[in-house]
Amino acid sequence: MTNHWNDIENSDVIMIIGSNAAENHPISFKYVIKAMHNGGKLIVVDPRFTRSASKASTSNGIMLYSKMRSGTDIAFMNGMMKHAIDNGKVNWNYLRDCTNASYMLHPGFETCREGNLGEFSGLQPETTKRHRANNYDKTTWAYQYVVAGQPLTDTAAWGACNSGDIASGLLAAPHADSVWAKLINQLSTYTISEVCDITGADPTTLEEIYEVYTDTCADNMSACIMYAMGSTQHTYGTQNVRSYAMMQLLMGNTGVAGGGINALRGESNVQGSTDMCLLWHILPGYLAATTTKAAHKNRTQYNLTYTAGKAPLDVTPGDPVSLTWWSKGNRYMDSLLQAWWPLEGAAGSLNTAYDYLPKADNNRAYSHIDIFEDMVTVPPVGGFPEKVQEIFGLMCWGQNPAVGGPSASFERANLANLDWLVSVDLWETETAAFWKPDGSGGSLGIPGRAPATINTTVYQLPAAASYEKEGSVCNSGRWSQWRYKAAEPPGLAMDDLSIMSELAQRLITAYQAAPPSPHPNLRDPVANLWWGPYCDPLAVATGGATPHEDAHGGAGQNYDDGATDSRTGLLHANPHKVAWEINGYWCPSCGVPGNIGWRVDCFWANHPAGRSTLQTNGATSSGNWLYCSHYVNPGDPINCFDTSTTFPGGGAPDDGPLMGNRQENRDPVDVVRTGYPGTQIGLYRGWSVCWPVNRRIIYNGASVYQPGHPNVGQPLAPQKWVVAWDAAGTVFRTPGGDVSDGYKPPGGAGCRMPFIMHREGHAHLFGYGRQDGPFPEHYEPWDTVCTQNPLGTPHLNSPTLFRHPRAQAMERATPGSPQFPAVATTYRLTEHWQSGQMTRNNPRLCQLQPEAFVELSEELATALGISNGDTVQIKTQRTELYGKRMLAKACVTKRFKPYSLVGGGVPDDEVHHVGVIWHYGYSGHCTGHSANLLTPHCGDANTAIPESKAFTCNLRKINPTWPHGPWL
Amino acid sequence: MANHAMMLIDTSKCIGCKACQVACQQWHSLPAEDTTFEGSYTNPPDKSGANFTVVKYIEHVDGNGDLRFLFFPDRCRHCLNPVCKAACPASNPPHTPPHPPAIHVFPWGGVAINESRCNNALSKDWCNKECEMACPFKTGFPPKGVPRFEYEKDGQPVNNLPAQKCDFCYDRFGNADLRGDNDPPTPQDGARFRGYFSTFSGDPPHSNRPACEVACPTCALRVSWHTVVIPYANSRVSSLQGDGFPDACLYPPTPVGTHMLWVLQYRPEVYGL
Ligand code: SF4
Ligand code: SF4
Ligand code: SF4
Repeated sequence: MTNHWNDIENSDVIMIIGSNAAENHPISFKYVIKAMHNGGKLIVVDPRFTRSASKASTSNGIMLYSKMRSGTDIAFMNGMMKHAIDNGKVNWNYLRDCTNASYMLHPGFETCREGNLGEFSGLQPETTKRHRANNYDKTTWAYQYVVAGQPLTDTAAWGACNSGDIASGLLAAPHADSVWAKLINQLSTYTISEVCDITGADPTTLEEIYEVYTDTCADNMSACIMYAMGSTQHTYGTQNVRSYAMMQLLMGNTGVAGGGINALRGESNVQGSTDMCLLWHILPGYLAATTTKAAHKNRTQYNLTYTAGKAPLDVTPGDPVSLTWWSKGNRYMDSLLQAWWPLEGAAGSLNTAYDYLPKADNNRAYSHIDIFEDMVTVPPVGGFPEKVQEIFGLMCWGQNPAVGGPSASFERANLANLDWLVSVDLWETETAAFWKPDGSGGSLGIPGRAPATINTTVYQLPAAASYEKEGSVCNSGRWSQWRYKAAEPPGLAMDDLSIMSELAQRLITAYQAAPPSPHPNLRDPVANLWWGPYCDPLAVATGGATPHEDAHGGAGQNYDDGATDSRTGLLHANPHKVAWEINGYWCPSCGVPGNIGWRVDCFWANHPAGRSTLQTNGATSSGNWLYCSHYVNPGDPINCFDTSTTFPGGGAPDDGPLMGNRQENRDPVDVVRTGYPGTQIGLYRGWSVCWPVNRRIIYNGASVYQPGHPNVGQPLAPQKWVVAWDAAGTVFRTPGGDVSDGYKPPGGAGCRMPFIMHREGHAHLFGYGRQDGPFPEHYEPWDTVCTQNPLGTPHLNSPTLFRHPRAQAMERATPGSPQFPAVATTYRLTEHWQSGQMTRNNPRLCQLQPEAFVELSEELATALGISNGDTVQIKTQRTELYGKRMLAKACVTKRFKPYSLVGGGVPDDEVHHVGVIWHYGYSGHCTGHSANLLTPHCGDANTAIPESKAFTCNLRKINPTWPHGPWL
Repeated sequence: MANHAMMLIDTSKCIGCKACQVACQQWHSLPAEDTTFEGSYTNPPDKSGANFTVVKYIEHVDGNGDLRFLFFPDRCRHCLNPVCKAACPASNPPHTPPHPPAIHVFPWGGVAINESRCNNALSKDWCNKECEMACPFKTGFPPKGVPRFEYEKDGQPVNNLPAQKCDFCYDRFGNADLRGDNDPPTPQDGARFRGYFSTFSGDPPHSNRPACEVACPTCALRVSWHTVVIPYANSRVSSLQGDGFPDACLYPPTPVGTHMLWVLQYRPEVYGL
């Protein structure tokens, strides 16, 4: 989230699209309901009328719920953008000052409406990348420049940069090569009627929703978008989210209170795990993962991509008015290397450490889908050579791919190709139990395959639950909070950290015992991995100062706290030490003896004693720069955030006596807002700590008028201001405001533009960094009922979508196949959680939702003779291919309706739409079939997230005795 | 009427999450009962010996042709003059005195079963579940009143229970206990809980309030004094009426008749009431 949970209450309009927050993030509705109580309007867009939709507002007698066929968000959002632009309902100042709307583009750039229809300029026909059919050559996806690095703007239309108010539109027609003109051109086909043809929405409702949403283009209004997996789990999921982000830019809704792009994270710590690089393409703190490309050849090259003022994807130096925060990335990378391999000696040691990092093959991907594709040997297919099995062992740590992974039958079958499988979990998951007998000669995960023929050795490591261990979690709003242990884990269950620490130490010992290898990088990265002794030796090694242990330091030498767990006989790992290492500390090579062993107070700040700011060349360590400031020196007098804020009870919790572990802060009283009139906006800066630097609303520099404007530094929305400056825009006057983004006063010298993570300092209406296009374009899901793109363009699917040749050859239904005439999506319930282990083992929750079910319209039920509670069989290309039946109970409901779909080549221009719950599996207290038996093994062009939310299916009623009902 | 406790159930704020249903079960150490999916999110289908409150789901197409998904957390109304008690042989002479009544009415309004005095549990044959039959708020088929006596668990019926129903979580209100109706009120009977009660000004629920209220993510459930709840409830109704729900109303319609008060978006019939 760019904003955070309780900021939702500041919204004038809330749009829930691609999420079902009432069901899957119920706590968020505390704030949605508050916003509505204060007059805010709720818009809900969903294929089905959900529990969230039940709360949709009414405007001019029209309920603000719109149905939308799964996978058509882009058409919906592009239509909204077009409506905003056509009706002048955009925030002109914001567009000029904070986005790249006015930038001039490479004259060769073509939208999907120019040149070859349905594609952007630069599409290459072939690719060497197995996982993608096509690639773009992005040469034309670029700006024109005044001088190197300083983009040229369309001054004839927009005036000079930051030149006061644009009251009601442009001075002249935009230049044909400008971002704005290209955007208008790209959107030109998305008329209300075209959008309704694609999405199946009702035009009156659609227009009212567009009107209500675009009202928030006013400076003092804001709207927020709440999205989740309904947006992302598509072959164009990234572009779905792009379309929301662009809409927010048109409205001036990013960086302000009650605005933002709010990804609702579905697990308590999924934000934290992403920050710590759960995903394969990043290192901790979103540093680019190292690959085989030339720019990653060595540490010098890698760091150059940052220090030259470039984000990793960029090719030219930055704009002088841009802070280009990633230019500090070399400090963060060096500190990370220093944290992982700090004892390499002096000169050049970090270069060696860098070489230890694995280099991903630049022509491959390593996503969840790839892991399972690489678990099996695939014969030559689609012109690609044979691909041999590469993965023979798997650790499933709190993961249950047998239920939660796409194309579950494929993934379950591959588990039998493994030599070993380790499941670290609270229960015996479906993944851990896949080989067990199913009662009919086969095994649970692979019906028809006798357990005796499965040679995978399965290890079950019982893990502690969240209440049985200590450590930090980071929520969707980036608030990181310390959790305490409330109970001992049962039996021999251990906390994850102790399991990991034990495993790592044994691996390190084993590698150290191995003889030196002719290929040092096969041995040394593990043999030399730093696992302690913790902290002391850094000081001891140089004979320097005593490091500052705090009360949590403990006597243990490594990650342990010296205490042996009497149940297991193993040392207990200490999460405080890990938090300390993540935060980072000063290392011997900093050359300041008084600093050695002290923690770094903040990744970037000015501190008189010089203990802030991460350094290069191993002077500091930090396991994750974003968390540098979360675990600081107790009593260190620095306040790196903001000294002007007073807190209830005196003192600033940012800096109070509690300091040390800022994540332990629990001040439940909101900040006192004395700097500027206006209501409380729920910043609660003394409650937990938030990255970056406790800034609750990121890009908040965009919440004020920009340099050149007469009201420079004044909030766009004074009644819910986030940061503010004095009349000259030079003196920060926000006691009780947020930590300002960008640090420089907008009215003063050296001011930088608000979007500090971009080299231009301006947000991307034109997003050249993506794989699949700088603007969103409607494509059909990979598995679609359409035989042609309803837009009439030649590309039915996204040309760059992510899929392996095997899946392309086998798992995809023929588009428009009469065998699978209905659209299906998958989703969750309030009553269950993820793959169900936490809830399907709880009898009270099983009681609430005991069985897997499929929701279908009354019309479809009538056509197929299905009644409520009947058993229904659902088939897709995957169930037919893998021979696994998917059964579920019928929920016949008014909340699904047949969809009109014009232009896609479907019979009668109408399709049925169903939705299937995916929580169920064959282990636990209540069981059922997982909807992932239905989903395909393909994913998003940028992220490879699986397309679980839109595919084709057929269904029929299953009777106790033959014959069964007809298929559709 | 002295100051009574009252719970407001604002269905316009309810998101149908069933947190109240589970929290109630957990606080009362009630078991999970057997259920199957029969096409509705309502599960179990009605209140039972194991579920004092059940969230009911209603799909309704209103006068505008708009579909609505309505949620109704169903439970005992805590009547001012509880018919269940009037009908209960173990709560009336000649049983009382000398015994305390099986259905206890607190001076602050809560109505609770004194399980040790319920005849069904005492296996006496002179009561035929009179409260279940007498209670006017009937649901299900055949229609039954609020108190329930059975459920099914692991395929077996469990049916030798005392009457089971919402007890307003009286034992969270400072552990007040069930005493004879003729005992003089003590501060425990409500007055000392003044500080716990909602002012409807955004205050978080105090943990001593009913389990369902504390669990509710949207504050759809709020307990306060009836003098606070009733005007607030009326203001919610008028604001809903101006906000696309002309039929919004209070249920039961006479607010001082019960100590549970619902704000509904549509007429009670729409909810099957
Ligand atoms: S609702 Fe029924 S059970 Fe509850 S107090 Fe009234 S009469 Fe008794
Ligand atoms: S007040 Fe207590 S007993 Fe009644 S429904 Fe709520 S939690 Fe259950
Ligand atoms: S907990 Fe609250 S929101 Fe959830 S079902 Fe109960 S009353 Fe409704």
